[in-house]
Amino acid sequence: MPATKKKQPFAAVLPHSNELGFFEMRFDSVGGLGANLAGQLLAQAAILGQGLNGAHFSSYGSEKKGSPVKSFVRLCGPDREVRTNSPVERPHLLAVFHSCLLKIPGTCAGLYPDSVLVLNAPDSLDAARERARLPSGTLCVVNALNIAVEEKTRLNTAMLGAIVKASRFIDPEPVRRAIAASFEDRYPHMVKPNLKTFDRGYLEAESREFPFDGRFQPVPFSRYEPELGYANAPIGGIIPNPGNTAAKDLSASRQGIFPLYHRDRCIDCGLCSMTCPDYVFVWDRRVDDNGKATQVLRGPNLQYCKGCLKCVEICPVEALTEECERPEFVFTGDVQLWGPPDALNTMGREGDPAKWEPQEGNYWTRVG
Amino acid sequence: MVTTEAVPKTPFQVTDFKKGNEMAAVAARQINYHLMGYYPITPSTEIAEELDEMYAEGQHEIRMVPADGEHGAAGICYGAAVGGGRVLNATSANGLLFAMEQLPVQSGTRFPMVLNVVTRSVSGPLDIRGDHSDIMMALNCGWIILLARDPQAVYDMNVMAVRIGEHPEVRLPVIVAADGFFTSHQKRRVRHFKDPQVVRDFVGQPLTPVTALDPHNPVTIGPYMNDPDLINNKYQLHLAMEAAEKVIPLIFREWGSLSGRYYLPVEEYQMQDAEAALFLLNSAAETAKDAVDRLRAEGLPVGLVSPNVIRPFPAAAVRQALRATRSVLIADRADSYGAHGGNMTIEVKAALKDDPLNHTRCISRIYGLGGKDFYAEDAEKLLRLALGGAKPGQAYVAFDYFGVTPGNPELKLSRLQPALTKADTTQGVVKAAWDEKAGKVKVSVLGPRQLTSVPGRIAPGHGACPGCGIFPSLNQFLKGIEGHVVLLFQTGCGMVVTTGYPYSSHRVTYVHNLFQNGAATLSGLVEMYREKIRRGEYPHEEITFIMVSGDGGMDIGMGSLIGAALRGHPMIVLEYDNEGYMNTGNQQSYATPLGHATSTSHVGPAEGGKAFHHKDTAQIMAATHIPYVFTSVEGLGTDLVRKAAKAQWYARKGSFAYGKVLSVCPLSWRYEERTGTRVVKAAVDCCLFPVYEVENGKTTITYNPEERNKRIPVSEWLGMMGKSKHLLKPEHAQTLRDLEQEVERRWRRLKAMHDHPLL
Repeated sequence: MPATKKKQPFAAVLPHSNELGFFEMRFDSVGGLGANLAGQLLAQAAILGQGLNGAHFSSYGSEKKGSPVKSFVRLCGPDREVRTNSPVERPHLLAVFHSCLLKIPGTCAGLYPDSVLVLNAPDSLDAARERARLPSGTLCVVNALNIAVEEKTRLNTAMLGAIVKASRFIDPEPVRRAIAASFEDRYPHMVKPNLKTFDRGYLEAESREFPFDGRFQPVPFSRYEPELGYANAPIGGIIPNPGNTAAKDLSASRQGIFPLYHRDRCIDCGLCSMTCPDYVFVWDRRVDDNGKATQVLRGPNLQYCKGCLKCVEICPVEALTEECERPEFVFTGDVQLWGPPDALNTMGREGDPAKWEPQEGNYWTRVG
Repeated sequence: MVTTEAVPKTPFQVTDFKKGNEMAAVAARQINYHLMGYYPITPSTEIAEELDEMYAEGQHEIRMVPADGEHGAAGICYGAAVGGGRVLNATSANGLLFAMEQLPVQSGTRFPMVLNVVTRSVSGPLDIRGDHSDIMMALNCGWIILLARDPQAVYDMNVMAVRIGEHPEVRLPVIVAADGFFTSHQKRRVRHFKDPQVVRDFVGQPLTPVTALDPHNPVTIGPYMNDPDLINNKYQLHLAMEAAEKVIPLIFREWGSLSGRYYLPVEEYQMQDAEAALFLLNSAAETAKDAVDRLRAEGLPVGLVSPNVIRPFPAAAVRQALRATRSVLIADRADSYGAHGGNMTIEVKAALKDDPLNHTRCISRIYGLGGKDFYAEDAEKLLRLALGGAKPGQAYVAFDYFGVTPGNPELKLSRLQPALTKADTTQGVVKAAWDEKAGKVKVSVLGPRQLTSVPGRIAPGHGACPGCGIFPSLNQFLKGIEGHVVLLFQTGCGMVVTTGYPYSSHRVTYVHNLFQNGAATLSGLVEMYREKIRRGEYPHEEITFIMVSGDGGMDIGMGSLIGAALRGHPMIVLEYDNEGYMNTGNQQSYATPLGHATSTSHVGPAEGGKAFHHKDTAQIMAATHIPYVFTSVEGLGTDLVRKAAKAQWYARKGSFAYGKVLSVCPLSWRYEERTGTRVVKAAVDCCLFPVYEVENGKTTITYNPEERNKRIPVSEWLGMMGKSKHLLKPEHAQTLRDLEQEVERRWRRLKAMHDHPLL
């Protein structure tokens, strides 16, 4: 058990605070990774176990599992009232639960020069800093996914371990108690593995302070403003752009696994298309040897694939196999169905600045 | 995890960390209401969920009644209230509006109860986040309306509401309104009494001067009352509101002396010498205090006025608070369209008008609609506007919106994809024709490979969860439909994940309406189409009209659906049954099978999952005697495609067709996503979900697991899912037996119908 042998090492004192007296944290995640619960447990532990005051809430919409979510924690001194109800825009500590979120512009915007960034990634500190384009501050990297896979738990408790360590003022003991309490009623057998996951996150997290060296410039936080407003939005809220969700990139919904397509084994039976919830399979119309029109599978467009693997399960010839996500696979396996990029971004608001290249056969492939 | 501390002179209170909805549930548990009638709607649903979970653990005795809709929930509550007990409900937004017809019934016949309104924007377009457009609609219903500005106030107001409403001089139902998400879903440090008896002593025994449960004193409740009597009944209601104005401060004070938390009908913050003030309700008022502090630090004379009660409207206290203020900015989180100000603006202006000496300038702004965040900086801007208005002779805009954005003028709207043509979707993969000899429509379907030549009417990029069962079913169904299609989705997962503004997955015209009314809406559209053709106003281009709904929509929308079926409009209704209200977080629907665990049918020492059997919607629809009813699932080859083609054949002939597909939900059924097809097939193979069709009254089982030697015990299917595997444990043996028997009874009955053309 890390760093809890001293009797009263954690006073109710914040290392930094904003003008209202809050130390603010934001957990950027995708639905299903448990960032909401992690935020709750952390805030609960700091407030009930360490005597601070504060609040916790999450971004809410009708987003489903796999959509981006944010979880907010505010902590302040015990006697300060919490009155604010708005999201955390300038976190003293930002935890990114899925490194693909770094692709979304603005994830690291609004950090203070001495903020802490906790990142779930298999990268080295230097590589992670490049990926996050962090101008300065403390970077903490933990391979939370790996820990969770090894312990058969979820990565949120590993992230909590890293966050608590990186915060340098949150007492890990009440957090451990909060984790145990959250599991002991319904899933008592999960208490031990989750505490171990937490401890490993705490111990295995590596951090380093990066002074400002001009390598990356700080990005100020800017509030999202819709492209469509009262002056140009079609009356009545109609969407005159049929099927424009095709412009979205949902790769971040996958949790590390995806179906790899093997053309050489495929018999074009079509069962994958029948079972796929995300309509990822792209088919070409070809003329067969007898001069008859027929359908030939080009492959899955992984831009839309959420990694449920129903297709792997149903494929009778193992032409689709379960693979761990690696960049080289994603890009070679990607088949872009609709384009071109200008049209794709016409009503887009998720500004993934992807680059596109036209390919033969009137489709576009995302590059870089 | 909870810590405790002693408070001098008052009973022990626990310091806890909870959100508004949890605090409403804690208060209800401590009060120990007799009954809660409810229907899930975001963001209020958690109150019933929390209470159901506590019930399962044996922490209270509140009878939890899941309604078929908010209108039904309000009816259940009214019925329970006339029985003379304590009654609770919780709702939001359109749920409140759907229930609203019942609200004046409750207040006009003077039966107290408590309704938590977790405020949310009213549709449409559908927005689930918090504003006050729902609660403002309730101002004229004769209910007391208390506001709860933070999770602590949610607890306090819920306890006090019982006393206020039941006061002998009041006898009125009470709404407690808290801000959706901002308060309902925000965890804060809170305190509540450790011993529920403290709360029970405070609320005391319910006073029941009238009850429908006393055969020795028969009473007529709700007579037929015209003029000249009704005005007197309403005058009594008015007097009760006047009495409430006196009673509320007394109860507030009594609770203050017990809990240490004192409330006033109108809260004033830094108003002593304020020249300019902000008038705000609930969570935004709390946020604005930070802005007041900031401007006060600059030496600016600003303050905040914020009521804790809006019915009865504390006019005298508002007048008092603003008597010397030069300018007040009233910010409404809902517009009263065309009224030159939201409802609070109108009421504050009316209150001030009664003071002939008052010269306060009233500025009105609409802010934060649809849950748009309200920052302290926003409050600061509003305060500065008020300060500007405080300067004599300064011009000001009396009424406007705050926080609207014009959009990017450079943006060019263009279509991402071309419209699908009739040829695109008529690839000849299905052929349907009447078979005179069989007395049925015969359909031939090409294999899955050829089906891929039909372009999807729903584009990829939708936001469903990984492994969602809705989309393979929709895809297969739409492969069987040729030509132009207009889709109507009732509210549910399928709707929400395909149309998050400004995106739409629908490549064909799509309409949403709330899930109690989709079938009626589509029937109206169908009749407009037919009437326009009849008048020669429309080129006769064939369109197939299809409504898509979850099983939740088959509860709340059952009346609308049956009505449309009985009228026999040419349209198709496809139900994706995922055995619960998955869009709002897995509450039980009537289609949830017996014993299954959901967020409103927990499993614990005092509760064993869903309390009654799954609804047989296909048989209900067969009883409307429409010519075609079917059930199917993905994973039975091209069965669903074939049935879609058949349904279209009947729609083309001018008839109504209905189909139901069992649709997996890995998140709420709790199984590994990849095994979805296996899970849904097991439901068919165990006969819980028989696959059949009823064509012109004749039932045909189209997939018989017994004949294929594939029949499995129900328990095998139950064991595949986290929501039901507890049923295999010995303590649930009776439930398992009941479910097995019901499945077997329905299956045998179906086989008999298959065998006998007259059944």
